[in-house]
Amino acid sequence: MITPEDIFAQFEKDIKASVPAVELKAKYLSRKSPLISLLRSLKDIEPEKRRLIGSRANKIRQDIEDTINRLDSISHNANEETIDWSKSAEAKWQVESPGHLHPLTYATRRAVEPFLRLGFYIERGPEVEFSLYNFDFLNFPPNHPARDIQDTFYVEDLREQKDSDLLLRTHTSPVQIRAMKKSRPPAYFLVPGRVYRNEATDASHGCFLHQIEGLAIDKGISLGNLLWTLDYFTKSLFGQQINIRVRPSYFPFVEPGIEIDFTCIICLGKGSNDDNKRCSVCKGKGWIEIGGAGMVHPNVLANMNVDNSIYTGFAFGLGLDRIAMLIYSIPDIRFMFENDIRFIEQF
Amino acid sequence: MLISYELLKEIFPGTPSLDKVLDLLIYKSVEVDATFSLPIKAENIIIGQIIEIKPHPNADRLQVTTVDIGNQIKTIVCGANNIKIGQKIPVILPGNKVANGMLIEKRTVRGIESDGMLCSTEELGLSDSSSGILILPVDFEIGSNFNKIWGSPDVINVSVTPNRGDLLSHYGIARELAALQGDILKEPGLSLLSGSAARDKISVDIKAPKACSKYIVSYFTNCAILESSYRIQRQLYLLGQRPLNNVVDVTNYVMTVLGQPLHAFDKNKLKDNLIIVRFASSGEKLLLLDGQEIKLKDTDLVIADSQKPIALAGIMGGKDSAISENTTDVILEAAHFNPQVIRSTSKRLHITTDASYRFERFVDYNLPDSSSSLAAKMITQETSGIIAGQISVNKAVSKLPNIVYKIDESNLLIGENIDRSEHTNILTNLGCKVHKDTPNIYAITPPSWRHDLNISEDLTEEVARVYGLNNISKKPISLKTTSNKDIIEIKIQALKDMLAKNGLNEVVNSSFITHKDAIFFKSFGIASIHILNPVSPENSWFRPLLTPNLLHNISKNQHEAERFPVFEIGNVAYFKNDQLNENTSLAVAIFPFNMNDTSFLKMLQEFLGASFECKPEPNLLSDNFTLIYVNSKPVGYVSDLSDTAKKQWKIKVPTMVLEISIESLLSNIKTKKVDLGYPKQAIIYKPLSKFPRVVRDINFIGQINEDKFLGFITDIKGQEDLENVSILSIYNGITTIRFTFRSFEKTLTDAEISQNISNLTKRIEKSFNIKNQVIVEE
Repeated sequence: MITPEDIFAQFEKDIKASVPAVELKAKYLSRKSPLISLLRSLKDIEPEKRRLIGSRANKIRQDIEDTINRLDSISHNANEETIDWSKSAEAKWQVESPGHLHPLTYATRRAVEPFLRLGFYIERGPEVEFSLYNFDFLNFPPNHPARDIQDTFYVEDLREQKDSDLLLRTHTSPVQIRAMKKSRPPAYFLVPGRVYRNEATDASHGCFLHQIEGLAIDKGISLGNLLWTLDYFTKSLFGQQINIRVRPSYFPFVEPGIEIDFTCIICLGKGSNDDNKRCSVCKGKGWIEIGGAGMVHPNVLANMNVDNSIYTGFAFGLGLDRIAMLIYSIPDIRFMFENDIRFIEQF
Repeated sequence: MLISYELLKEIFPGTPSLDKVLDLLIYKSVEVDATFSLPIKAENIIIGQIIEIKPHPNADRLQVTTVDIGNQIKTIVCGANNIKIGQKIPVILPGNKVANGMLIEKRTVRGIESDGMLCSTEELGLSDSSSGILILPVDFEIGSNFNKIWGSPDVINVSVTPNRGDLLSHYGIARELAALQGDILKEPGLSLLSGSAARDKISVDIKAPKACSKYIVSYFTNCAILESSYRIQRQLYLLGQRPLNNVVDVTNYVMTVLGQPLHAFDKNKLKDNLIIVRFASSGEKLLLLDGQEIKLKDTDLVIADSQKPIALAGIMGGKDSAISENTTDVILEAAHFNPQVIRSTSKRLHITTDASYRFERFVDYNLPDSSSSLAAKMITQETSGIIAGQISVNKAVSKLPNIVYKIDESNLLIGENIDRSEHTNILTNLGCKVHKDTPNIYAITPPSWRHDLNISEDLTEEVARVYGLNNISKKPISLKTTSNKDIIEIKIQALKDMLAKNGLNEVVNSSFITHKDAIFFKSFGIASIHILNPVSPENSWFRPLLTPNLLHNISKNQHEAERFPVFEIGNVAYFKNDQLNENTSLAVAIFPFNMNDTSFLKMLQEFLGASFECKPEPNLLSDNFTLIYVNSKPVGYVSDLSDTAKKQWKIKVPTMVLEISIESLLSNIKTKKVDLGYPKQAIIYKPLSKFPRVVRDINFIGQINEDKFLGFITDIKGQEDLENVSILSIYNGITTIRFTFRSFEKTLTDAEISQNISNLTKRIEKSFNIKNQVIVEE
């Protein structure tokens, strides 16, 4: 039997071959067309199959109809004035008033600055990532609950050779591996970037967020170095009165693994359990959680082709959205991505 | 995971104060989400004793009880069916409120006057629903205040990381607290009974030894399945669990105490007294306890009798063999299952239970023994049953690792000179066997419950956290500075600065696009990436271009501003010729756009040091769609919007869009130094009104002093819902001033606006000596 997908494939071929809209309509949407016949014949098949094929066929019919309608209206746009983009402009581009950069850009710049001063450089990596880099190389055991810490978006893989599952990276840490595979220690770099979590959106969580990853690999790097670096960063960003505290945690790619908090910059660590006096930013705890860190796991060093008997390293991941929200007192993460002119013009 | 503080104290008398427990856990062990206390939420509950029960003369389902509450005898009508003469029960008298706030009054129920109410856990506020009156211990004193006796027990919500399965029990937390205080908690010290009696009647056959390395069966006869005792019920309520019956409650209680998931079967539902641990045959079916029927695969481990599966191993029991009120003979399972096998099935079927959660995180190989013993003791007490015996079937287990631990390397990794004796003490307290090969090199065997300790760095972490992470001194790093001015990220920042300087605003959009938008661009030959598990249908595709979401921004803001030129820089990805492509893109949208104005394009080329070759290629977006080539390679496009495109994004204004892949072009940008500018003054975000704005242009006869007017604007902005004021034009002796109004509370009416305008006009006339001409409405 011909499937709705077969019909759609043929439709796409016709679109590429520029078959006119009128013909397409007759071929795909008329009463006798294979797709419509298929839809009409659904009543004769068993209910379970009917629902499945029916919903697929209907969706494809909708897509075909939308596309044809658009092609149809293209011909109606013919009266548009032609623009010659290659014509060199005589006038200069007019600036009425300067534009505004996004608070996330400013927060990223402020977060990056102290590290650049120390001598770190910046690396980047893809957001559509292989499971191999997002998990396996980072020492996440196969079929282990550690993989549930971050809810992952998986994507359909249209490649011919599928060597590893495709997903949207859940952290910037895969870039540790990617960058180290092409360089040698000592290495000190940062990775600012977007990551994805398949989580319900609320005032402090979105299904995409921004992180700044840091990696230092050298001889004799210690946990004490990591604590100094994080303290230096926090004080550079928020002032000398702000301290860090660390707590044990678990991330498969570091050992030991820690979680980092810093003094609440609003109540300056006063906290309070009194409902009326409770600081709304730190919820009365006096501390704000900013990210995770730790000493690079020997298995991860090995996956980077780094000799783990000579080198050690630290890594950290900090939340940039949280930093932007703190610096500019933005109460809800969603406000940052609605792109209302009145929001952007404030910065 | 919830931890009852009083139960913790019962298990480990050395448990410190609640605050100290939290401190120890948070700074040295695991995160604590919250603590709360669970007092009784109903008022003035008195303990009563039922001295008489009579059927209600006018209602089949009701009973009339006579209750002794100490100084008085009360007649109370009751609908529950678990009450018996002689029981002690919680009573609420008229004039008091139950947990949901309802006031109890003396009232006549079907002709019988009822002088109060017997309480279930629901009325007491301990659970959301209940199946009967809470039965109290017989030694509770009649007439005493139950609120006081119940107290205000504390509950701790601990967030255990996936590597620490050993902490998923009260005993595990107690053992950790002991170690953190330099103490060692005694082993429960429970041993199995001799198993001969059971062996005659039940046989266990492990056919999948790699998936199940231990299976202990305890066999009970003559059990009475009733409600469990107050003591067990109390702990289950504190832990947010619902008591079911004395056998199931004991299995749940022992699991929270020791961490070993247990399962109880009705022995008489088993065919041939046989318990087989095996993988399912593909296609076998099993009706689970929660009523759902599952189709099994050959990777699913099951417990079966001689004929069919009776439980999904380590996850959930089957309905057919469940304990019911008619059960007399009980079989109790305590097993050690392979975490990965349990996890695969749990993931595949989307079933997570307290049992599977623990098995996935590794349960100590030795726990089935002690938990069988504890559970056996409690089941015989609770059900008055007889234990007929216990049998244990063991298969080979992997040996505990022997870890070479070098003190000086560990100290180097921490960056602190921690004493050798301290290393030894910490590891010993945590249950490790420490063997000193040399003064510096130790051989360490971790305890059976710590499968997460495998390499020397794992032990370093243990020492560092117990020593105190915040006691480690901070050590500066020193490195050679590298020049960053040529790296892509810095050049992107330079590009952003250039665009902002030229009047463009930066937007940051989601990376997801709608199905409708994905289809639109599919006709260009761009295959978007489909998200297999999107959060919502509107977010089901990964953006192949920044353009679609930028157009949504235009659509959203076109009524808010006369001009809103925007740009975005971000990653886009798509499939092309079976290859995955991802690159960093710059998109620009400008409205209003004057036809044939190519000045932006010119400026961009100059900045990028690139020369664009433009080749028109009409498509859905516009007949004026033009591909941009640099050095004969396509890098992007520039276009206006066709009517079709305007309809798709609901755009009414003439708009120019451009999107180019920038990575290859950035190298031409000359950056002299790294310049990461940001506003030096403090900016505090101001909330936005949800209500629409209203624009009014007012003409004044006469010229206005612009400098003076700027000061005036600052003075009046924010007053009378005035969002903005600007001089639109000064022409031919006429000054046009534009007022924008918007309220935070409501949509402004015409009358309100006119009143505001009239007030403002008067002030302007007075301050600037000009005259209002006519009102021009937009």
